[in-house]
Amino acid sequence: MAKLSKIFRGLSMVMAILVCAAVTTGVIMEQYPSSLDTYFGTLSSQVVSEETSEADWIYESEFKTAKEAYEGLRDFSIKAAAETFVLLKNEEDALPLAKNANITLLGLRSYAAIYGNNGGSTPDTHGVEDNTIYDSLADEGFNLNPEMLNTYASYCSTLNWAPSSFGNSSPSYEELNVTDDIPELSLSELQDINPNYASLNSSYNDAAIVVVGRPGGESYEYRSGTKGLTGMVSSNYPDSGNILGLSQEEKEIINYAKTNFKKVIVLVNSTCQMEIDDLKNDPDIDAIMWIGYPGAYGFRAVAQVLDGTVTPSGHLGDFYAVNSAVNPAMMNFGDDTEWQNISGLENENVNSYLIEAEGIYTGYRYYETRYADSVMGTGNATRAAAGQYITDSGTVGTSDGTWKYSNEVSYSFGYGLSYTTFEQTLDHVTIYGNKKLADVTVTVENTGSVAGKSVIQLYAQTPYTEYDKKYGVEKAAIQLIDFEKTDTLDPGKTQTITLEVDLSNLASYDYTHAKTYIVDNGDYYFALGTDAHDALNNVLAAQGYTTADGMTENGDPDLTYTWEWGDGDEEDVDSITFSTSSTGVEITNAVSDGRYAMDFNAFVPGTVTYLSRSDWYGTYPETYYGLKADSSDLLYEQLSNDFYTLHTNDDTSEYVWGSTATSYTINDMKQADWDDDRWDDIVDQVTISEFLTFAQNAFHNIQEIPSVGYAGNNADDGPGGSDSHYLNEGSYQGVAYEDAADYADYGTRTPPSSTNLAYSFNKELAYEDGSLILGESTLMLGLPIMIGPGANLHRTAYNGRGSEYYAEDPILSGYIGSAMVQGAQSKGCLVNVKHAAFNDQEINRSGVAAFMNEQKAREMELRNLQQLFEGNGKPASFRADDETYGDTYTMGTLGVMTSYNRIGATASSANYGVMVQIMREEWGFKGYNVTDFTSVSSKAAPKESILFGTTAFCGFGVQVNYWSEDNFKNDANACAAIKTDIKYILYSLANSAAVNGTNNTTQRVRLWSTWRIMYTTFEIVAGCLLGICVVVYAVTEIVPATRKDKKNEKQED
Amino acid sequence: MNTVKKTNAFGWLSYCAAVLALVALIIYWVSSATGYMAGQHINALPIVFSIIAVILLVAAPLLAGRWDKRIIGGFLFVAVVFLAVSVCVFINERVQLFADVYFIPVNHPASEDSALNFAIVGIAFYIASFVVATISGFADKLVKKDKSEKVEANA
Repeated sequence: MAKLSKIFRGLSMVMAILVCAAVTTGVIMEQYPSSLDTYFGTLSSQVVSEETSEADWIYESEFKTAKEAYEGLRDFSIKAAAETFVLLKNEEDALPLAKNANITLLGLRSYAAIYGNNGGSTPDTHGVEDNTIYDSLADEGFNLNPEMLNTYASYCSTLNWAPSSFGNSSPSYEELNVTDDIPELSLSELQDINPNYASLNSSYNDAAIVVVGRPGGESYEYRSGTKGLTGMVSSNYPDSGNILGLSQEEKEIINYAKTNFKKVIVLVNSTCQMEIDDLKNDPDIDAIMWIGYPGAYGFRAVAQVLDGTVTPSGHLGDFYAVNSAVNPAMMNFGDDTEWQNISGLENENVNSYLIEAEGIYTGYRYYETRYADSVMGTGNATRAAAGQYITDSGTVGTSDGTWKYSNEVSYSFGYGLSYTTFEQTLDHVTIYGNKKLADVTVTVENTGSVAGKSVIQLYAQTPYTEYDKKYGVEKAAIQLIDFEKTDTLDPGKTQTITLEVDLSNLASYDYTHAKTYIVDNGDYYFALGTDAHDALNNVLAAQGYTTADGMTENGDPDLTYTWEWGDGDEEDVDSITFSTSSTGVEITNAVSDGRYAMDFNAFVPGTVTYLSRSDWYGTYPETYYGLKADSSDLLYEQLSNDFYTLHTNDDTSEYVWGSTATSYTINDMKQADWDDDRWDDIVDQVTISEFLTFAQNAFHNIQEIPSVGYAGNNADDGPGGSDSHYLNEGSYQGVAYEDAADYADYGTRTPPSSTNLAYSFNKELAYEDGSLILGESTLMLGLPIMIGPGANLHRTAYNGRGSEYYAEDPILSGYIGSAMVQGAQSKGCLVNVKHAAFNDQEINRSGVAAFMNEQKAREMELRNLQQLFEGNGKPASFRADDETYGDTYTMGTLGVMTSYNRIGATASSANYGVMVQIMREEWGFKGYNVTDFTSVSSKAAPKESILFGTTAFCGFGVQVNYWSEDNFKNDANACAAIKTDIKYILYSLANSAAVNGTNNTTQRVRLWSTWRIMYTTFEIVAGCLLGICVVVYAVTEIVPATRKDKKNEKQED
Repeated sequence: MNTVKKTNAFGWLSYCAAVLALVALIIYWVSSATGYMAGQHINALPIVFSIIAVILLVAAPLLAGRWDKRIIGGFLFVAVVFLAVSVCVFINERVQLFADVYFIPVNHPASEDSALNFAIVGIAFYIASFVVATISGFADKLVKKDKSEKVEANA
């Protein structure tokens, strides 16, 4: 008995430990249900309503079954992808190929193609596996060389396919997802894998299609070897010395194709601008086509373009330089710029900084403006220092030399060929009286022999005046001002389109003198062009310049329109017309001075010299090493993310919390206007604690707000579809798909990348993309919040996350993004436009401090985001069809996600200048504002962020000590801010699908997800075993001992 | 017989568990009050429970032979439960760190790594502590039998 008792005493202890472990597991899991659902692909709760009436439903899905959804997404994704590819070269009509051409696919990426992002909306794995590059081409009718295909397949069979990503798997080979050395098989390696790899080449000799690519996506970062950057130049990249240039092995494969096949077609499977000038200039390369990341079904579209079923109509949304590492922006990029001597700030992600000294001169704005100055002989444009230019032989200059546009450029922004030809005519221009709007009418004629679409690219030039030089206002020599895409035009057919041009996008921001937007006196130009360079040449031609002045070719002045602003006094400017925002707020400096400054000179005067076209040579950026902040500085205080002390004794009696005077629910407020009188009452029903709980629980879910009858919802990451939910969870108007089980693991991450979408230059397509990919994810899968679209500008080619964003130009990116938002919101999707703002590199992305002057901030990234926030850029076809599209573009974005990087020295969500002065006041943003994955931690400056309009913190909860009602309720500023934040939350939810199909019976029910079943089982089993052990222990030790005691007592008696 | 000579191997394990628990407690306290976690709310439960557990683990072999062995067994049982609860709370409070560092693919402060690593060491000490204490729990006694007990047994 004694032996048993000690065993069961020990076992009781073991079981008690197991019970503790089980309970803790359950407690932890229930704290992070949405995280677990995302990670394991489960569903642990669902919002259900007992009975719904038709009136409860505001939005309706297009799909009634999983089959319809699957087919709808697939068909759209193929259609969309086909519009995004850019034909860069097509010598002697090498393309299209015959439909039954015999083809050999070459290059590792011809088998292991890149379908989409790795991380952040990875493409749907099932979709990819059903539509691989080789199956898609074969299904289209091409005959593929099986021996070569098998050789690559044999190699790839040794690799790890579809590694798990967060919430899904990435349809790619894990070993190939690298950015520090590009994997490719040399000929000798092919020989080793399969000695007969070339045996069928002669039978599949119509063309070799060589695929070269670079992976990208969230967390992906490329580095170059230029001064100021983390070096990784390798002799293995002989053209440019950079990772984005072709590697030795890639060139070997291309040379092999040149010597063994009739035609060589190169597909560029990358969203980072690869350095491909050698291919452009190589007469033996017959065609080059940029395909970006075409999406889960996108290679079907590639096949359709290759065989001419679809005529390519994409245009580059980024400038393709000979060497993308040699430009002003790349002088400050990477992680060599770490703060020095920042002690005491170890917890706030104070890592590095980014001094964007290039100002507005990124991408084509740099190359084309310097070109214009070189033609005009101004601004020291042709003189360049070592490391800042490309020589005639294509290498980087090692001593002072001459900057030549022709040495720098491969393809300019907007470039793109077609299988047909078009002629565009600038018919008519009307500048309206208030000079805020212009109508530009253009007629396009298909002058070729096959049907196709044409892109109208409307550019503008503004004068660079003495005023600008005096006050440091920079001007691009050419800038995109609007664009439209035609319908498919048959040969000989024409289409006339009127573009409604927002002239505020011509205004420059003068942060030093006028401190608002200005318009210089002088001559203004509109110009059509096949790309930015062509448009600039047309402007230069109108100004009288020719090839004799150094132009690359003569322009066509007939494709320009000129008008004058002001009286011609170059010393004077119009600082009135665009100094007031659309909300009626006076626009003035927001990030030039004080604690929210983005200009580093505001903290340490005289540190940064910004690039100016008045002296390209003298102001070319240097790399800013070794910056530091003293602990007594304002800079240090901002970097600490702790610069507001909560008050403890304010009179806050005017603020009512948890009011029971009214009993409105969120359902009463469906579609309510911002000015609805009931908002004040319903906001008063919410307590501070409810708000804090809501704000701290925002990881792929929307927390419930019981006081207003909001049951909460699931949410998910985008931007290219739902990251972790699949069609088997789908429903139509609250009724689960009958055929759901047939489409398990088929998702909505099907479309081409965001960069592809922008390259389509098609606003209507972007609207449809938003409607289907984000909007239908919301409706089908019950995800009112989709985190997307991604809309940061491309600052350099080296940001590996560029694939999640659109383009380098604020108008192209802004209008495509705006269309995406409008499409998504038409289905009730509460978009979270990300990442506001300035996520210009993934390196040190959490915490890197982005500094720039306010002109760059406002004219580039913020002008881009402004289009989404204000709902600008309505397509001409929508304006012409008021009956169908009259209620579109009436509301800007309802949600935003702020960025990991700092805006200036401050956490992005706590930068008053951008978050409040610009976003809320100037742009009139009234929606939901969530941080990126910061949690409620010092990385996000939580109390300051709440003051400035942050409504939620994505992450794993609270990591600060002041997160309680008691600490906020006595601070009048905090109370006022929380009231407004609650209204932002309720307003955006009430105007989204969060209230679609809801009524007062709506509740969130717990589902028995796998992880919940597992921990509950663990708890029950451990609990039962503990009970058994304790009982046996008691019986074997306590009871006998008690008997013994009694026996002893009796003996004593 | 003095206390040291009287204690058997299982008794020493109990002392050992007490020392491990004490180290774990110190790590919990320090890691909650310094570095990345500095300034955040410190949960008193693990501190109180750990202190009680340490006292019980020390008291058990000290009082063994003098107090009813059911009470001594109860000391060990309660100590183990308290240590288990302490480590569970400790883990629960560090899940955010773990998730931040291992699940979210972004760079984070080095101090967050340090805090997590320090916490893992503390958790390991807690686990070692209650494992050792549990082994003691399987023992019949924590002290050696003295001669009078043997004589009594023989009789």
